[in-house]
Amino acid sequence: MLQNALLLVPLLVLVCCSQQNRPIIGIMTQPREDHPEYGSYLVASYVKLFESAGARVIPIHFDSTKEELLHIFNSINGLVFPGGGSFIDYGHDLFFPNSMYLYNLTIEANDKGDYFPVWGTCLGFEMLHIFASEIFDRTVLSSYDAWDISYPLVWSQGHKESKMFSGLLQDHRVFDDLSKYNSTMNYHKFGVSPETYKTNTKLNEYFKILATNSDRQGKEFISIVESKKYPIYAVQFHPEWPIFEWEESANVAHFQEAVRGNSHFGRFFVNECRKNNHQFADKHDERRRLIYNYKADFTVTTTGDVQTYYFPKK
Amino acid sequence: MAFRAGVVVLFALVCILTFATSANNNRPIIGVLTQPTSVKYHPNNIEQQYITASYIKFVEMSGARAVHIPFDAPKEELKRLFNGVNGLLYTGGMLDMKNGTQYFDNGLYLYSLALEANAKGDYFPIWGTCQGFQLFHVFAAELLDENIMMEHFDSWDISYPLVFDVANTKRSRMFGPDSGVTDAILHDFATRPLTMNFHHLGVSRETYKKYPAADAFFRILSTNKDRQGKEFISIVEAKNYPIYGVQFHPEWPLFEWDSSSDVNHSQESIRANSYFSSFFVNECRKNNHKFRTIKEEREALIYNYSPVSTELTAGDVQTYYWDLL
Repeated sequence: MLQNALLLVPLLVLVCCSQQNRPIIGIMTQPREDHPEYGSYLVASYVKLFESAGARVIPIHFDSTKEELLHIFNSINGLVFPGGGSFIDYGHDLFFPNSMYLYNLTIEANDKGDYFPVWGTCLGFEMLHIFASEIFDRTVLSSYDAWDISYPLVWSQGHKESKMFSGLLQDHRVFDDLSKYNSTMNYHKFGVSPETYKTNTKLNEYFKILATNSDRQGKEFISIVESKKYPIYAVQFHPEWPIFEWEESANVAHFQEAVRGNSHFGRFFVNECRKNNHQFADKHDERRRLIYNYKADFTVTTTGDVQTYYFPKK
Repeated sequence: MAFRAGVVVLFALVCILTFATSANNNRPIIGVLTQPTSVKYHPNNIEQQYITASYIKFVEMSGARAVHIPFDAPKEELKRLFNGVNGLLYTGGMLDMKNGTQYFDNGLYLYSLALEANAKGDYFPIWGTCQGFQLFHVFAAELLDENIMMEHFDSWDISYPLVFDVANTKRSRMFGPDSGVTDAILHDFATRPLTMNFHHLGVSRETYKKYPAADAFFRILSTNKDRQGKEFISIVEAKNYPIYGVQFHPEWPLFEWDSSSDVNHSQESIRANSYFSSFFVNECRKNNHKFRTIKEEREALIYNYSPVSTELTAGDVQTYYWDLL
């Protein structure tokens, strides 16, 4: 008995200290809004946010086969659902059903003890709410007047004890950076109301609210959540914007506090992705999928984002 | 009367505050000097010019945009670009740096423009990494050939903790009380092997004794010892100019993934090495250089170009290439 217990000690040390420092993050592409028939796109600033925090990125083509998605899921250390204008309900393209497939793999992996983190930004935030509510339409979303506006975060009770903000490596100035200045860039006409959590027990059990804001009409929306049970995190605003996007007319803050505060989200998520050991079995397969193989277009005058990756239809 | 005086004071105060906040330029652009490919393995084995993409990522990650500055551009073009950017970065590389080569001569021209601007009160920061660090030393010593000054070191592909010169770091801009560096970052640098060295050449405290002009110009902030125990200088800042040099590669732990290299990708390393980027970009927020028009700015930005994957050829994950002018 004692012998067994002694054997367990090094094992536990190994498990809690094992961190891998070569994380790869998969970011979901979306159907092109201008010409869906041409293929998919990914805004480069999402790639840059996670690269800057010490990860490599591969695009996950939304129109991949299930077999391909499963292979990628088993090989990457975290998954990102970015912002955009795609349909997040049934009856359209493969973006929503394939995102849900990856989400279900995530839940399954975590339930088995395989720590697999997911991040959602803006549309990704809204989609994760749809998945968590288990009502697979837009019921949990409300309309907001929060397009192109920067706000200071309003912290919710207990935010300092959250996984997202209690990290040992965190710079404590980020609390002020994010809540004393207009540092968070909002670009959304939909969102989730704290009221919805009161009536939807699934959401309430699933997510902890870490911060909120009010739109131009004074209507409150949720800005940050983390799952109570899973390493799943989502923000309604765009942390990549103050750091990497430069469209001249946008209401975005580029001062150092905004850059430092928003960098925290990239770094926090990448650190979460160091906690599992998914990897590509074949290094050639890994190399050919990395974002380094693709060229980004300069799109500031067409889409408003400085650089965008475009991918052909699968 | 008192009311009016109050209004005047209030008005003056508002002006000062407005000035104080608008003094920071929050759309900094950093010029990165290209160099010839001749000594770097080129995938198609042709003479071009290049920048390793991790330097671009290093300036972008802290809220700056990048512009490439062709090392072979005519002086008028270099001047135009200098007036458009808020700081300059000299990258690492393998060039033989001496008078009469275009890289050295144009590098010196831009460096002189920076000195001149600063002397006139136009705060213009420049940063040198590895070869850039060495080049600044040649300039500061007023030499025309790096081979006269550089010493040999055994520090290729090795990561070290920094040995800070405590007295100097305390009064430095880079790590001093107003720098914004945290104790945790200083502690991690001092205790963990976070700085990635890739150099056969370098400078030592002995070099400074031989070249008093370099000693008068730079303040030594940290040193290291190579595999043979020979000490080299790893970080400097100019005493009277916003000029900074690091012998190691802060962009490597963040952005380079050659799996055979002795690089530290831990979260402590990412946080610590990121500090150099945010410090330098903050320095670049302090002047108001600007391209004459938005069109001119747009045409200069690095977003017009795409790097290619070079992990298997150069060892760097991505590289930008341009034809020679």
